[in-house]
Amino acid sequence: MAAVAVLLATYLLGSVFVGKAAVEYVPWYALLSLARVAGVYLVALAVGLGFGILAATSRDAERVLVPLFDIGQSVPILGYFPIVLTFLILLFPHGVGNEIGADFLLFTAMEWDIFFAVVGAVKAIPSSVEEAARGYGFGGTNHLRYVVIPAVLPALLSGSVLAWNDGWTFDVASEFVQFANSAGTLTTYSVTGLGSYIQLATQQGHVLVSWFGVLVMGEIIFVTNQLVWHRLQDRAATRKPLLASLTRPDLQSPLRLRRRMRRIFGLRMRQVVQSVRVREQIGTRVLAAVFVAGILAVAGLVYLRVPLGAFQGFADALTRPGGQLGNIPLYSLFTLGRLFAAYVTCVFISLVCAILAVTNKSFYRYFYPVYDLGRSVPYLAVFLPLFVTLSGSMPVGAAQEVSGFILLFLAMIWYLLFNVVTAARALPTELTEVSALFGVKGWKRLTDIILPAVLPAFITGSLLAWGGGWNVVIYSEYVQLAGQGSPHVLPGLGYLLDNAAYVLGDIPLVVFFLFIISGIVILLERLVWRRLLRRVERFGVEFN
Amino acid sequence: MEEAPEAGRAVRGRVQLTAILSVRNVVKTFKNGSTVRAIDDVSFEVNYDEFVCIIGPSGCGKSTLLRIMAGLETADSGQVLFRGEPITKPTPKVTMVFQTFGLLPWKTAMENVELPMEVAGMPRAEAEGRADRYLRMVGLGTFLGAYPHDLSGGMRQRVGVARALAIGPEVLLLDEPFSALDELTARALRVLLLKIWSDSSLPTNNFVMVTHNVEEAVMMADRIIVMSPHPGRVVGELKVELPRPRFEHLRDALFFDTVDKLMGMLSSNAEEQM
Repeated sequence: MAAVAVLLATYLLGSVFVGKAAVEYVPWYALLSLARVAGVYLVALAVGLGFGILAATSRDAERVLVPLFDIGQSVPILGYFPIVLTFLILLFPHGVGNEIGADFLLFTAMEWDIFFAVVGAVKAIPSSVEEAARGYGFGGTNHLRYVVIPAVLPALLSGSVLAWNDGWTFDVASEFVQFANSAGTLTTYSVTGLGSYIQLATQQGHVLVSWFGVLVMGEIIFVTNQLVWHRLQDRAATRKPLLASLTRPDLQSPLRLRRRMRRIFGLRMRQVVQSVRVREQIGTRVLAAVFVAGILAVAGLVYLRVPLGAFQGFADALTRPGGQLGNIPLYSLFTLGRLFAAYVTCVFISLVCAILAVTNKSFYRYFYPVYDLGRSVPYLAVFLPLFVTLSGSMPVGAAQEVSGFILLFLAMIWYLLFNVVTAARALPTELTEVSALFGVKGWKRLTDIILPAVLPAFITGSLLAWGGGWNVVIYSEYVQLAGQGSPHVLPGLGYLLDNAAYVLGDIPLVVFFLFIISGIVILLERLVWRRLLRRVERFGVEFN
Repeated sequence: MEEAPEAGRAVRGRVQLTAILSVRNVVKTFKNGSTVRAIDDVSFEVNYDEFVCIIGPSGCGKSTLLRIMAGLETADSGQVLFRGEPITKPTPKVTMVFQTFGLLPWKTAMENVELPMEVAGMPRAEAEGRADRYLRMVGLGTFLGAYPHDLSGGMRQRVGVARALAIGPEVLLLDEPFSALDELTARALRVLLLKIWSDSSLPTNNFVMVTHNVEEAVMMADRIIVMSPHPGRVVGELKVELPRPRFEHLRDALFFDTVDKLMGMLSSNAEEQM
């Protein structure tokens, strides 16, 4: 209820500031976005806790909820956002639809982290504790209050940190959508907040001002992490009263920073590893078959010119001269290529850091603060100002490609870097001693000790990085600036999707592209990453 | 009693008076926020063909001491001499068996045993031959290609022992090698280790084992060094006069007497600490 009230207030206040992109309002915009992200977080928390505990305690609920959330987290949220937004705006006029749409996007950005953290933590309650609780006659509320909630708390906090950061990352995408239809008429869906302010300032040519907005957003993320989440985590870990942490400042030691980070990412690692251990409810073969059959069926229907009635527009859009069906394979490759280029760069940097981490003891003193700061960069918000700034000094297409690359890089690097470096750090002392004892060094140490030790973490990081990458690659392929008739586009699946949604307004076409994107994402994850992880999982180094 | 000859030793007949390993006035301090003196002026010798146990409660620095003897840690002052030469870094002549085995999870039993020999520059065929031979010796002839993940704890420690022995060290250091195993498995491995120690056809005849298990120390050692914690010091030494092979004498009154004596040495010190 509180969350709904916060969101309602956000909407009402926001409507006061509509269209006023001025620097003096920045504190207000920041406050509005903060309220929006916080409100949605509370909703996500309630839903995640409720469904998470349900899924972890009831087999029937698990059978339904876990695959649902698993598929849900694989589908890029920016992929289905256009459909949801269009639908909501039709349903709720006067900007209410925009606000609900923004809230919905933020919700999907946050929900999965919380849900899976709760499920994992409830399932990890030792059976001896459960048995003791049952033995002493704890039931219902008491069980929840004295066993489940305390057990879930640390993981819930780690999940919340991730959710909070993801929420802020998508804030800019949720608050501002702009496109021009085929006639060149500009449409803007926006709700007031820091994210839309950053975009609006760029649109109006005040790039410096929008960089300022990005800075403010990064600041908010960093400060809320330090002041709220990290302290709560420390308290939860040491079992000290939670509220005391908010009022009593304490010194941040690098050691504690590292432990916190490890808890957060340990959680992610465990989630991924657990998800691999559980037999997938819907087989990969079934999914692959559905994917291929779906594409073939659509292609068949369209090419054989089967009369489609209401869906005729959809078929025409695909087959008209210069239409898009033939482009799909090539455009898929372009998008994959972008992801791959960023991924390879991230891999290279992470491996160098892993080696440094093992060979150089003082590496961590610099790594964790840099990581903490780097994670606070709201990369989606960086994209537009970066694009406009770069297009001043290079061809527009190149500027879009480069800023897209940087966006992808920022979205992917932290997963890999953190997982790999932490795994290198977590190398058991005994194995370090074994290599020292038998004189394993140089290249041999790299190939026989370091690389195999970080491999499971590396694959987990890759899985997460690709998941994060898909979300933002869509964002970078389509940019509509005010005062320009046609959008700046990069050939790719993201462009096809956004074009279908905003320019053509063809919902079946959007669904078709979303189907293709989700299919690629899910199959890549299952056929490459999960399969690899299953193979090396037993060689893993434990995080804790 | 004190003069009773050691059956096993007489058969071996290679008793020499000089020490193969001598620990001289070793001091080690750790700085972890506050300064902790882990080892305070420890000295003792390990004679040729001797099985020495170091026993003491946790925090007495016995594992750190073993690591200094292996060249894995350096002493702040004092030194460890191997055949009169100071040990400053790990050498194939002194190897170690680890408490939780220290096997590389991504390598098979064979590959784990081969690794040290490979690193030492031994030709591949020879390394393979030796790895095969030593794995068979510890009873793992049918598990050469198994990964540690697929082996039981006892089998993993057998791989650990084979790995340490295969490069032909003269001194074997054992860091609580059985404390991660259940009692039955540990018992079988103790017998195996004693057999290896007394087998004079193998080059490895000097064992130094760290333990906190009193019966285990009495069952295995010629001599027991007793340490106390905070800071780690040698507080006593006990010669075990029980005849070998020891597992035939575990019901002797002498065994229980020795256990009691050692217990007494350990607990009198524990009380002092309180």
